[in-house]
Amino acid sequence: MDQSLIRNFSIIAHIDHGKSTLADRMLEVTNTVSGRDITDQMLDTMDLERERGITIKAQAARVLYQARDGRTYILHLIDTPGHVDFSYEVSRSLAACEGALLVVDAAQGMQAQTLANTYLALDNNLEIVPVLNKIDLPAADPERVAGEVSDLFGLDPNEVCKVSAKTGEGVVDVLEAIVGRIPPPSGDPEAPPRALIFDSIYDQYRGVIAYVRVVDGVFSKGDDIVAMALGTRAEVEEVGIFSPNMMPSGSLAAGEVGYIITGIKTVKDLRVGDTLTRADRRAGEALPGYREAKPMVFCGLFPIDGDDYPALRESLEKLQLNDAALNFEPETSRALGFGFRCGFLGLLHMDIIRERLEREYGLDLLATTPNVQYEARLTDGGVTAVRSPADMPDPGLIEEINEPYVRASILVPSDFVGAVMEVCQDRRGDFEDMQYLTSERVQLHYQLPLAEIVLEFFDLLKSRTKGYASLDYEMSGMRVSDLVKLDILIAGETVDALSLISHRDKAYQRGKALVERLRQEIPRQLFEVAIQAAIGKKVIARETVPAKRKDVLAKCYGGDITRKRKLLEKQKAGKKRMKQVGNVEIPQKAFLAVLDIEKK
Amino acid sequence: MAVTHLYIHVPFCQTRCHYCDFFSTGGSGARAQAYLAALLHELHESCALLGRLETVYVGGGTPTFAGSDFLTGLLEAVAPLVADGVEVTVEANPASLDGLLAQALASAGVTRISLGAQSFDPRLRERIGRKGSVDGIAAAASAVRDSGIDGLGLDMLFALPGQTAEMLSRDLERALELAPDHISCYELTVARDSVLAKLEGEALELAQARAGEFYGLVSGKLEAAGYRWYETSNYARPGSECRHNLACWSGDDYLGIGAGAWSTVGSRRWRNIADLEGYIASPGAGRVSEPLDRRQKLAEALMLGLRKADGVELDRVKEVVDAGQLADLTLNGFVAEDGARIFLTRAGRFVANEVCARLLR
Repeated sequence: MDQSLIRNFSIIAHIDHGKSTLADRMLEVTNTVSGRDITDQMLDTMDLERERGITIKAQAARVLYQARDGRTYILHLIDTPGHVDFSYEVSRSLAACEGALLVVDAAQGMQAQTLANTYLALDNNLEIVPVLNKIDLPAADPERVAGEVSDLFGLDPNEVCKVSAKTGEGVVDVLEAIVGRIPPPSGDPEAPPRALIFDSIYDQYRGVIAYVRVVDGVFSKGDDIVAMALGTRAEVEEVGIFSPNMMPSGSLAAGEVGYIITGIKTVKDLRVGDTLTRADRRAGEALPGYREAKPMVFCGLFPIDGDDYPALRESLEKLQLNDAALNFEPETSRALGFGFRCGFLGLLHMDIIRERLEREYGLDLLATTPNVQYEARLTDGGVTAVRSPADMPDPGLIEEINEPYVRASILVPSDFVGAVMEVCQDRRGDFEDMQYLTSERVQLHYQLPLAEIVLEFFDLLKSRTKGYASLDYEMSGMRVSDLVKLDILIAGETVDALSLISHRDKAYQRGKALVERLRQEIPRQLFEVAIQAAIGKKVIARETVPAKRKDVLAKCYGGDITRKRKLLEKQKAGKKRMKQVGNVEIPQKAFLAVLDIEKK
Repeated sequence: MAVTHLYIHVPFCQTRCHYCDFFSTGGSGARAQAYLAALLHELHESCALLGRLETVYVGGGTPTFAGSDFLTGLLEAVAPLVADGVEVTVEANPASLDGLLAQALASAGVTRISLGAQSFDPRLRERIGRKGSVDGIAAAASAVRDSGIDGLGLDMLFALPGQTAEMLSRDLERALELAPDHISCYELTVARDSVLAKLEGEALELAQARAGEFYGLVSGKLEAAGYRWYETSNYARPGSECRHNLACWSGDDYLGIGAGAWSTVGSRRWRNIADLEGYIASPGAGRVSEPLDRRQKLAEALMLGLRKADGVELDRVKEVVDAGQLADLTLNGFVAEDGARIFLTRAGRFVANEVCARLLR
C-alpha cells in the first residue's frame, strides 16, 4: 500500500451546515455509492441521527477518487459526532486524520462549536480545508464568510472552496483540495503495528466492531492483538474497509482506515482512544490521548409501570454494550419505586438514551431532574461524591461543597453581547474575557457552574439572541459553592424524586416557582393537599390544592351505565399512570415541573 | 332466569327542553297509534324472556303526551304479565296530566306517577326551556292524589343557570308543600352540544362551581323533612322508594322495549334502534348489542351498588375491589362497612366517582 496515495480527513461542521449532505455528494461523485442507493445522509444510520440532523456515532467511508493528476487516491472520510457532549470522541476522530474539511454555512458563518473543533484540529496538526456550503441560497454571503474564516485561521481567502452540496456545484474542487493540500499519512509500515480506535460499536451477531486508523505496521486476520490501555486481548476475526459498507480486506496497513472484529462482547473492553497492537510484536508506546469516558450529568430513570424494572435493566445493559460512556446503578425512590441512577456525557446524551429506551425498547419512563456531580468535604475530613439530592449529607456534617465549573465559549453577533451577559450572570457566571473575531462577531468566555448549563441554558441563550448564539464548553475544575438541598413535601411527605440541589441565593425563588407549578399540575383529590418547599426543616414556600367538592354522576339509568363504566375504567387507567405518594396521586407531568420552571 | 322488570320507552315530547339529550320526537295521533302497535309487537316477541313482572316503568320522553288511549292501550297489554300490588310507574309532564288522565291511569293499574316538576321558579324554567306553568305542577299533583294513585314522585333539577342557594331552597320548599312520597333531585347535566350549552355557557359554569354546595343543601333539606337519601339523586319516604330503579342499581336484569330503549339481560346489553320510523317499521331491527364479561358486570355492581345508601355486598364485588384502598378510604371516612355490606358515607357520596375509581382494582 502506497501511503502517498492515501488521504485521511474528517469534516467539522455545525448542525445543519450540510456536513452529511456534502459527504453524500462525495460518495456519489466518486461512484462509491450509485445514485440509486443514495438515501439522504447515508452516514447517519440511526433513525435518531437522521431526525435530529446530528451524528452521534462516528462513521467512516473509503472513497476511490481519480484526481486531475491522473492518479487514483484512497480517501478516508471519518464523519465525527457534532455535539459538545461528544467532544472526546471528536478529538479521537480528528487524531485519526491528517486533515479536516471545515464546512461553514455561507449564510450563517462560524459557530462556537465549529470554532472549538477547528482549534482542536489545529492542535492535532491537521491541515484545514475551509469549505463554504449552501452558496446557492439567496441569503448566502460567501465573500463575507470567506473573509471571516480566513481571518480567524490565517488562511488565504482564495483557498476557501465554495460549494453547494445540494446541487453538487464545487464538490470536485473540494476533492482536489483534499488530494492537493492534505498531507499523506507518515507512519512506519515496518514498525510494530499500532492502530487508534476512534469508535467502536456493538453488533449483536458479531460482537464489538472497532473502527480504527492504522498508524504503523499491518494488522491481519488471525493476529493476536492487545488494547494497550485496558490490556484487553483478542484474536482478529476479520479486518476490512468501509466502502462504505463493511467489506473484508484480509489486512489493514499503515495509513489505512477500516474496522477490526474480534470476539469481544462489550465496547467497554475496546474503548475509543485506546491503541491496538500485536501481542507478539508489541509496540513500545501507545498513541497519545486516551481518556476514560466520564459521565458529567446524572438523572434517575424510573419505569412508570414498576413491572418494567427488569426490562429497563436489560435495555440499559444492551445500550451499554454499545456506549462506554453510559453508566447506571440501581436507585430506589420512595415516590417512584425502583429505577436507576444513570450517568451521561451531557444533556444530549441523556436525551438520546432516554429516547432510545422509549422508542427502541418500548419503555415508558420518568426521568428526574438532571444533576451534576458535586463533592462534599465533611467535617470529619472525609469526601463524598453527590450525584443525586439523596446523596447530600446532613448540613451539619458538611465542611464545604464543591461544584464543577466549565469554561464556556459563546459566539454571538455583537448586538447580542448584552443579552448573553445577562443570561450568564443570571446563571452565576463569572466573566473572563471578550474578543471581537470580526467587527460583528464576538467571542465571550465565562466561567459557569456546569449545573447551570445543564438545565436549559442553551435554549435560553438561543431564545435571548434570536437563535444566533452558539456555545461550546470544557471542564475547568471544581469550586467551593454555597449549595443547599431543596426538598418538596406533598401532604407532609418528602417526595425524594422532586428534591433538587440549588445555590442558596436561588433556592427561595426556585422553591416558590416549583410549588406554584406543582399546584397547577396536581389535580384535586379527596383531601386538601399541602405542597411545601423546604430547606432542611425550614419551609420556604407553600401552596394548597383544595379537596374535590363534588364529583358524582347525577343520573345512571339504561345506557348511562355502560358509558359510566367505561369512564370509570378510563379514570382507573389514568390513575395507574399516576404515582401514588401517601394518599396523593401525582401525575407524571408534575415530575417534569422542575425542568419547566428552569426555562423561565 | 326470567326477567321481572320491564321498561317501556315513549319517546314523544311536545318540545325538547334545552338541556335534554334523551331520545325524543314529536308525535301526532297517527304516529302514536303506529308506535303503540310496534311496542305491542315487541312485547309479544319478548314474552319468552319475561317472567311474572315485579315492576313496570313507562318513561320518556313524555308518556302522558301520547294521550290517554295510548297509555291505557299499552297498560292493558301489559296487565296479564303483572300481579296485584306490583309497582307500575308512569312519568308525567304536569302540562299533560289532568284529572281525567289520572283517573284513567289509576284504573289501568298505575301505582306511581313521577311528575316532571324540575323547578318552581318561572324565570329559571324559562332559561332551561321548560314549558308549562308553575301552577300546573300543583294541579297535576292534586289530580294524582284525587285519582287514588298512592305514589306521587316529583322530579327536580338543581344547579340551573342563574340559580342561587336561596332560589334552590325555595324550590325545595315548594316541592315539599306538595307532600310527595318520592323526590328525585338531579344536578342539571347538559349535553355538550345542546341548545342550553350554547345559550348559557357562562351561567352554567358558575352554577356547576356551586354544585357541591347545592348538593349538600338538597340532601340536608330533604333528609330533614323525613325523606331518606336512598340513592345518589333520589329521596323517598320509607317504603316509597322506586323499586324499578332500585332493581337496576342492584344489577338485576331488565327488559326495555320501545325505540332507543336499553335492556340488560345476563351477559348482554343492547339498545333498540333509536329512530321512531325505523322502530315502527321493524321493532327488532337495528339493535346494537354489547357483551358484558364477568369483570365488567362486577365493576358495574360496585359502581351502581355504591349509588345506593344500602351499598353493595362486599363478597359479591370483592374480586374487583382493591383491599388496600378500601381500608384507606374506610379509615378516612369515605366508605363504611356494615356487616357484609359496604356503602358510601355522607362525605363519600359527594365524591363518589373518585372513590369508586380508587376502589376499583
